[in-house]
Amino acid sequence: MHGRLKIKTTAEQAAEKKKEREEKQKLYLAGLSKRASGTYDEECLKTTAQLLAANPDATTLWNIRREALLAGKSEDEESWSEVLQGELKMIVACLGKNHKSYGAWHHRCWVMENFPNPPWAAEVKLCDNYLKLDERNFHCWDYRRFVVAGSKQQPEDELKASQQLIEHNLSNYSAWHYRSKLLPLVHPPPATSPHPVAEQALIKELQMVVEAVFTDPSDQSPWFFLRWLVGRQEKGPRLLQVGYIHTQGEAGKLVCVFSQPVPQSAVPETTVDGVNGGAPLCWWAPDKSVYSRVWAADLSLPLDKEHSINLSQTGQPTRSLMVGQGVARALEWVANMEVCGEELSDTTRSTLEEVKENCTTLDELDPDNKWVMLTLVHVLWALDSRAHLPAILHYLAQLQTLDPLRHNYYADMKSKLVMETALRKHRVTEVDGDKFHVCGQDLTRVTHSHLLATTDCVDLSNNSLSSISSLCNLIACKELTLDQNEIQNLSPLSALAALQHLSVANNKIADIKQLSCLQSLTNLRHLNLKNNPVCEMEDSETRIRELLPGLQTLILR
Amino acid sequence: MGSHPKDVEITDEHPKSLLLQKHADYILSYTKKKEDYEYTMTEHFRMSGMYWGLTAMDILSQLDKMSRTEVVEFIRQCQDAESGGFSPSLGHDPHLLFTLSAVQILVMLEATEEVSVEGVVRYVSSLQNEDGSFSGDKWGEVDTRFSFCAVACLALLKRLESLNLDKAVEFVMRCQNVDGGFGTRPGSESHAGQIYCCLGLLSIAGQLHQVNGDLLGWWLCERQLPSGGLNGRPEKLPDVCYSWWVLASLSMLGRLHWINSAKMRLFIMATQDPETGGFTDRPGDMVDLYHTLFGLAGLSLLGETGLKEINPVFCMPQYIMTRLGISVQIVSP
Ligand SMILES: [Zn+2]
Repeated sequence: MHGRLKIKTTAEQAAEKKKEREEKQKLYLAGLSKRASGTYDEECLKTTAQLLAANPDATTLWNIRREALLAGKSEDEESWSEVLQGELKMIVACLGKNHKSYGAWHHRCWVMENFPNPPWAAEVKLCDNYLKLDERNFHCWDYRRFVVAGSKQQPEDELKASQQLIEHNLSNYSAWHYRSKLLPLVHPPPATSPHPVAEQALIKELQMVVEAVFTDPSDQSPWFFLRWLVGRQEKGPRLLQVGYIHTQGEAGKLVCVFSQPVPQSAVPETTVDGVNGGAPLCWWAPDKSVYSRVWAADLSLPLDKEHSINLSQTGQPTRSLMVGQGVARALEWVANMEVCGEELSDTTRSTLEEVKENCTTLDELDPDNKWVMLTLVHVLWALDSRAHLPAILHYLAQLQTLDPLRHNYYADMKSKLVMETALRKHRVTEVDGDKFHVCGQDLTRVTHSHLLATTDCVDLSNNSLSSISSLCNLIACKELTLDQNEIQNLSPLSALAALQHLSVANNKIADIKQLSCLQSLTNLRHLNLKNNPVCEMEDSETRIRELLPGLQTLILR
Repeated sequence: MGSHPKDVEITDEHPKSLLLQKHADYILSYTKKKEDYEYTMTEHFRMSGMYWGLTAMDILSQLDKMSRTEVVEFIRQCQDAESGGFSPSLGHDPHLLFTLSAVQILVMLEATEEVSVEGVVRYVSSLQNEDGSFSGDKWGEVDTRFSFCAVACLALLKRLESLNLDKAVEFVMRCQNVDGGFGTRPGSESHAGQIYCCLGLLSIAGQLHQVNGDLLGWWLCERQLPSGGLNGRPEKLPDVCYSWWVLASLSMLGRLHWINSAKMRLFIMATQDPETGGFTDRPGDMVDLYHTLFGLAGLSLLGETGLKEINPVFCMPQYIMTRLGISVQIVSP
């Protein structure tokens, strides 16, 4: 169904096709009737071979063939091998018709699995040949992996083979992919390493890729590979913070924040002396999902005296936190903001610096190359996103003009960087409490919102936010300012029980129904809706007051 | 920027707006020309062809023009009494691919009671392997497409507890690559079609958090070429069916806005054949039902007026999913 050019058929051609079809139909029915009667003879093999050579995608015909082969299987290994050798030839004929036929390649696997002594080496050669015809044929690549596994061919040899294919054509993405699978096998990194391969091999690989991108910087395949090499392995989820939130009208909550979404079962079993009768706390996720970075538990009493909190997790020693009198918010930062990047080893740092130098040179030689700039963004980000912030933002802005198709991707990456940088700078002070603001920075999304789970004052005014779904994590927030954005939907705020002040002036809230999600916010006293389409509605004030009777201030104009 | 070495050109000659009625007529006439060469040559995937046609007609709000009785009778005949699975048409063998198509149609037509649901459940769960993967049929071919077929099938029948979902997820995650994408089996190269299947499975299982959305989303949006069309792998030609696989994947990741939808729309429009109706893979090729559904489905995801909303995971009209009370996981960016 792919790549068939539309050609006008003459009446003559149509008649010929019709004849051809009738003949195939006859053959097909003959094959089926043989199967129905259990006659798996030579004739049956001949018919299916003929039909499959014309249409190797007809799965049932392969099935009939396998049944026929098994029915005639001789006990004698030699003659059975001969039959299977014949099959391999027959499949080659089918692959001639369509070298991307799932059925044909699968039948080849089946044949190999049935051989008393499979001819693995010959099959590796066959793969070499087919990959010469089409270096991206993923059926053949998959078959190659199957053959390599069977033949016990060493990954080192395959690594060499991938090198040759890459040298032959740098834009062979399949070969680069194969390399990314083999390298960690041949050069496994130590368990604690943030890198995908052992350091020595990493440095060698980087040199090879840099050479490749210098040869032809417009080839995208090596750049994907380079991005993987300079990137870091994601670590498993870690507990980042245990916090206490005190909200008016309730006893308060404990909060656990994780670096990655975890299920409820991953939250440590927690008891607080004198609270909830000493029973383990019940954890819930703000967005009600099964996996979450933020988990909260309601307490039966406020933590206004001295308390000890015990956290126990299977396989780890129980930890105790002592809480003094008058505790206000964060109890403990288990791992302070390391989410945004970790320390680099000296070797890695110097290697990344080298890649940076090379890319900077390339950027001067070939100033409008998007791949060079994008790689610089990743490398600078990995090195030190704070120090390189202006440079990264500059490249991202240039990329937006250079590559307009992906304009919004670059905008979202910019937002991520801005949030990361702001969160690194973010400090909780005794005087001002926990306030976080990123205003006028063109934010198109709010990432890392889990790190604001215990923050009580958040201001994201004057950005380009249209979706605020990640703000559901702001469960301690008392004052939220989102003026001058493009927000239409407020429902992610419906669980922010602590919220007292909400300002969403100059947004796109058009429907009064959008405000009904605020009904659950029993502490909400002040709402600024100025310059939203909904304010233009007749009786808007009365209707909103009716909807939200707890409001003290309502600003509409 | 110069012209892309692997791309097509969209000119003023190509259609710019949706030829809605032409497509409905094309699908309708297709099902009526049973003597046609095209029709017989597609017998080995007839069941999926029916699903493509019926779903497209539903998106076009013309499902009532199709004969429900005829379709249901055909499906009934294609259920294999012994295994419980569905074959593509009479005389062919059952397979997971066609079992999902059959179940999708039956759910769409509210006709699941016309077949043996127990049989389907038995068939699907019997094909799960030790490692969590699924074989397409008893002959043992393993592919993440089949994992999706199995999980989607039982999700639609609300019988997910009959398979080992955790293991299925585990296998799919073993097929993930360093570019964030997924392939056919562990070790296989990333491919937009497989990515759709794997994300769909993870979405149904509520496990999309296991995917790095920024990394995979980037790979997916890099599929867009200057013509506006999307390819399925780097350095390949654009194809309308990828507008579905890639757009649906980006939708599940909450990153549909990472491609340029105006240019995407124009590319899909250009693959319409104004003479015959229907969509092709690329401008100038022959139309078929497969590309017609995925062209329409892609446009529906982009919010084209006149088309019903489509569910990105099941590739079925959203109203049906709502009627069934089946919700899928969509992550926020
Ligand atoms: Zn296609």
